[in-house]
Amino acid sequence: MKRPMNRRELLKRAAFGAAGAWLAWTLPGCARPPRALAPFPFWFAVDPPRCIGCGACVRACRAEHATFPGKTRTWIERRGIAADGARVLLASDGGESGFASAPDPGPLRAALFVPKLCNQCEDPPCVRVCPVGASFASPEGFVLLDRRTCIGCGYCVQACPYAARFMDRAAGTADGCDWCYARVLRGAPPVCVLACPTGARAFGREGGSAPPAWLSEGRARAPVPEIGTRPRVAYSRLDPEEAAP
Amino acid sequence: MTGTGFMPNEAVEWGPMVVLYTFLSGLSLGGLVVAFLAVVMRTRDLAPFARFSLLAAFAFLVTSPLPLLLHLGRPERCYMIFVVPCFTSPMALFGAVFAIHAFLLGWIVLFVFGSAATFPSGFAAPPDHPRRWLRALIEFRAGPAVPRFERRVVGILLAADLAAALVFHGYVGALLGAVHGNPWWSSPLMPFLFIFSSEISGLSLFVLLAVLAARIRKAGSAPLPVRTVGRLLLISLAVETALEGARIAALAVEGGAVWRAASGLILGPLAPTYLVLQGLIGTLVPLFLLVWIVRRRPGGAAGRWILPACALLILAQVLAMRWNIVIGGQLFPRSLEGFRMYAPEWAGKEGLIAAAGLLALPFLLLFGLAKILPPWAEQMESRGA
Repeated sequence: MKRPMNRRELLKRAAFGAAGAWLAWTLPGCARPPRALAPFPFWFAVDPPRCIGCGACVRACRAEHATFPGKTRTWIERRGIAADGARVLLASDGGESGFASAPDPGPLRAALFVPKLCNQCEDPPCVRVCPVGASFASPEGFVLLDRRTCIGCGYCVQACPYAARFMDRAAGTADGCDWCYARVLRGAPPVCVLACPTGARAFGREGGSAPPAWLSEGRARAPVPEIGTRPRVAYSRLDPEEAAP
Repeated sequence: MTGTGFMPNEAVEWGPMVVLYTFLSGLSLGGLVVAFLAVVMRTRDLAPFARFSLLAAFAFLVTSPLPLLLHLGRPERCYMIFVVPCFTSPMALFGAVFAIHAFLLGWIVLFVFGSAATFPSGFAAPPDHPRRWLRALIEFRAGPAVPRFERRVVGILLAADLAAALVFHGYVGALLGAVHGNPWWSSPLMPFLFIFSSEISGLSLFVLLAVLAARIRKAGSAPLPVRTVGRLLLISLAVETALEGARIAALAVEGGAVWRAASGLILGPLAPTYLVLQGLIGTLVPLFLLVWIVRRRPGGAAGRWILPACALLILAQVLAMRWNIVIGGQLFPRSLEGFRMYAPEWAGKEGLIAAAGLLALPFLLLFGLAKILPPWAEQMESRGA
């Protein structure tokens, strides 16, 4: 007659079974490379001196992605130097309605509108900190967010040094710019690039349309380079007082 | 700098629930430290409190993730942190560390209290009945015939769980310390700061619970070892203060925009909670009182009430410290120029009323557990355990 299983044996088998099942489920996922191995084939150039702060890019982005009210995937900052040398930074509504009704900062010695969006970093903190892999790098190297997996912890929002991620309170998940990934895969540029009337935003594929001279000559600026995220959006200027390259 | 300095997406996304989580989880460490000292280090005057402190640690640990669940935008997906963890994230590792810590603590509680538990009459079920199985599973005990074996097993489990607990509480700090884009959080000292602040808050809670339990039980309760606990609190509080000082000093040494933002934060929006509550009321006053208790050994009413008063102040300090770190780190923009004020909402799932309700939950659980699992020695003896 078969001996009945005692409690100790039952617990031991249950523990080993659970541990084995957990490892079998999670290890293949852990083995995924955190980012794409191939070189990123796209470039995104922002030339702030061309930006007039009209906000067309911000409105086009909201129309395309129906972003949560009050948050935005792309925005425009107004940076300036006052007559007394004080720095001015206005970006509270992201320039969506233009800057005509924005608070008057007084006379400025130098000023610049700086369009901003997700930098699609080579070493993205949002991917590194996401506990469930909802922030991930696509095979092409795009930093994407799977909103069906996101648990809404907000860790990526805190970790992004550029404030490009935000919480969509209606969906309960994070949200952020992906350079219009679906459009780009179809060969179309991101909507903000299409909407810009002055060409302040430019986008292209390596081997396709030629990037601006300042980018191909290696004179691009990166926002907050000391953090080491290696942002992929290239800026011609970021400081209002800086000479144009 | 004029203008707001804030980008449109910058908001206080981690609110009172995250603060409460870091506070509640820390409170569980004190009970474990007391049990460890009593069982492994054989600190005799803490021995009568070992079982009670274990129960308290368990009650606070198992309820601590609830605020996090309320904070999550999609709480129904919380299981995914265990199912598809991304181990580059401190938060995913932290889920595994929490699971190990909670599992070990649960095991210790089962081992210590298993055969002394009092069951509702429904548990007297016939053999092979599922209820019988449940009862068998929690009678996890070698039995009164081999007390030395039992003590050794509990000691080993306690040591292992204390190690897991220290990693767990360090990880709470590491979660914030890993955010390199935020200079208020990004510090290698953060894990150590959280370990020591968890210890002092847990020990303070133990003091208050022991005083409360003595008042409820009235007769037969062992005297609270004021000097032992006072000395432990004094050392841990001094280390925690030094770590916080070093963290702020590192920001000052870094200088520039980082120090302008940090000093502006301390002197501006955080002045009442940082300088007054955390610094003066919660740190300096208890430090002086604890030195007095340890050196002068006051007797009478002063001896009875000063340590609980210190404990209350230290609890307020740690709660303020959690607030100052979690909320404070979101009060200045990524540009490090300018500040915002923050007033938490009262209602809503992340409001102060919900937070107060969650704060009461571990106390209710402890009260319920103490009814089922006898925490005091004479109760164990009277039940033949």
